[in-house]
Amino acid sequence: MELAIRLTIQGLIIGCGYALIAIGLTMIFGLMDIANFAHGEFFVLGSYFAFTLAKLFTIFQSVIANYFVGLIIGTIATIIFGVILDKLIFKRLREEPLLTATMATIGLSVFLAFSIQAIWGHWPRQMPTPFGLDPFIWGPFVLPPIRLFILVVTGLCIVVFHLLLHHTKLGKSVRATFQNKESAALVGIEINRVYTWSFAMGAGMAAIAGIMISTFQPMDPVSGGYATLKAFIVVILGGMGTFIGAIVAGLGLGVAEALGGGFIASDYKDAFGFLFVIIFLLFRPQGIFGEE
Amino acid sequence: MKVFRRIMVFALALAMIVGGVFMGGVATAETIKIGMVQPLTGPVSFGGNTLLNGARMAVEEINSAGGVLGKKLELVPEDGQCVPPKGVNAAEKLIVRDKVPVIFGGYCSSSSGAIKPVTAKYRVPQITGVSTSPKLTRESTDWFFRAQGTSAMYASALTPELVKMGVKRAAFVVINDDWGRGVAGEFGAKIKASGNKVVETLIFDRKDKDLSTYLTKARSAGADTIITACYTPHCIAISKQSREVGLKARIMGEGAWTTAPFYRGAGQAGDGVIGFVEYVHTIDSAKNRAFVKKYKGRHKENPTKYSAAGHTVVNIIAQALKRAGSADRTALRDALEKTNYDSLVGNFQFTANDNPSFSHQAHGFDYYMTKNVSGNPEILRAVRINKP
Repeated sequence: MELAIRLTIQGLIIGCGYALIAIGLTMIFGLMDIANFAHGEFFVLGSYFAFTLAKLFTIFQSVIANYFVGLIIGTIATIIFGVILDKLIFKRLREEPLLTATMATIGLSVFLAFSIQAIWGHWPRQMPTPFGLDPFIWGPFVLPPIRLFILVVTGLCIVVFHLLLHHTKLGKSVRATFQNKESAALVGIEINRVYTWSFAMGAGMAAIAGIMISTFQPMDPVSGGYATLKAFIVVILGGMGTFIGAIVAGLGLGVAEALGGGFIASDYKDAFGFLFVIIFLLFRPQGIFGEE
Repeated sequence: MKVFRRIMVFALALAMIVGGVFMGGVATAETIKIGMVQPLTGPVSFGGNTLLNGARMAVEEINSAGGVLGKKLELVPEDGQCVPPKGVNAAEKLIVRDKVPVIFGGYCSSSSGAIKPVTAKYRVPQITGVSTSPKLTRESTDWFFRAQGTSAMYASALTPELVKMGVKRAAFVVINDDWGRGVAGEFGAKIKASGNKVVETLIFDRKDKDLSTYLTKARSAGADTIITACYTPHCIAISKQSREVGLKARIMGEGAWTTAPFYRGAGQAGDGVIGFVEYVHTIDSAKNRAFVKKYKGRHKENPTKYSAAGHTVVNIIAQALKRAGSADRTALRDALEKTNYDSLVGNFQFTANDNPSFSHQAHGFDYYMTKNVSGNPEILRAVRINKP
């Protein structure tokens, strides 16, 4: 039982990472009908940006303060990069057939991964751990400070995102475009602005996930593909284009992997995710929150 | 215009054909090529690149001393990424297009194993300097050599030491490939035979860098020692995340425990880890001090065990070429069998092809157990790897 609790907590935290990455992916898919295979690169880029920028702007003496500087500047840098990519590449892909756009994003993913490798080198890097490694222990609950931080930040991101989507004009235009882009354009919504905004938000959330996770997982330039893969599982499981689906499925996948890997067979940990998806989709092909 | 374009295309094609033939001709006439299949990109690439550094140093030393058989040595590195199919493609390319007389690779055991049938098919000698999965030299192809021990040999040599250190309940946390499974299998069998327990065998995917699930599992199984097989990113993850899950067990094992990026990444969490390594830069011999000084002068970093392997294998090949008297593949294979090379870690000889336990398997050198103390690997013990 104690082991089950520990594994569940670990699964939830990794699930937070999956959810943050998947929200952006599902948004891009829902709005633009593009399966963005380069989305995981934002997760990687975020951590490298934060790593380098935090070093450049070492204003404070404390590791924690510098980490927060890295977290904020790294996220902003990734958002800016996302906007540039949107204007340069994704804008041109929106009207292309799905297959063309998909091929282009796969190419972009490879290009970005190897550019990261060319700039930062091929060896693994590690973000300094801001809060120390030793965990808080309350009975069966073992939680290292950084992972508690991930839970809090992911919660905050989701709340902020929800507020933006439901209580601002921009959010309303996003939802309108989501429902029907032609009608949205007809009533005067600048859908290109909506696209850029959503793309930037998605990139930013993936970057936040990357910057938090890279404090206990070494960064390496080519790990974006793995992140994309996991995010796609989450998006498909949650229902294409639903936000709440991405969150619930992200957490679910994390827990399923942790419990499956911990209790059944460690070498099939990654396979449990897929098994979960296959079984689930057999009964509910539209995903958890998808509409038929 | 159309005519002009046609002429241009024709001229370009002609230039490529002539250029290709010309360049190929020159290269084979003046140099002896050593084909290399190593991971130069991807998660394992740090080691692969330091191996290449070591190999390049050896080539420069040999060439500046006049080369081999009146020709210069030339490395032709290809990136196998430690992905078996990519390794196979790289080996095919080296053999068919570059016509190399020998292949130095692969690096990860699974990659070496995938290349093995290719070198056997084309009858090209292949040497690995890194792979330790026992099955590679258990099944002979006549063309495969290993200038390194196997996990089985290391397990036999080290288990008595582990028992002396009080290893009673071991848990394995190893990567999901031939190397990782080999470490868990061989060390596991020896530890069980010594009357101690293996409480868990946990196997992780190489793309997975959150290993806390496994470490939690090991903790709840009451392991007093974690034995690993990990590349740099996973070694960093294990040392940091074991602290995160409150694991108090000792961490030891094969892998990248003594490399500079490991120390940089793991920081203080890397202290106290016990590494099982084929080479470490703190070996106290005149030969090694000179090697470390030269390497450090060039790369601003200590050489890794992979750098040493690169250096050793190139020297073994150069010596064999001299003995063979030509770069003929069969003559080179026969000459490799007579290897007798004094490396940084001792003498290298290969067992005969028909050796009952391991064919074309190196032996005679030392193997080290190190402990990380403030970012520096101190040698705890050195054991001789005897003829199997």
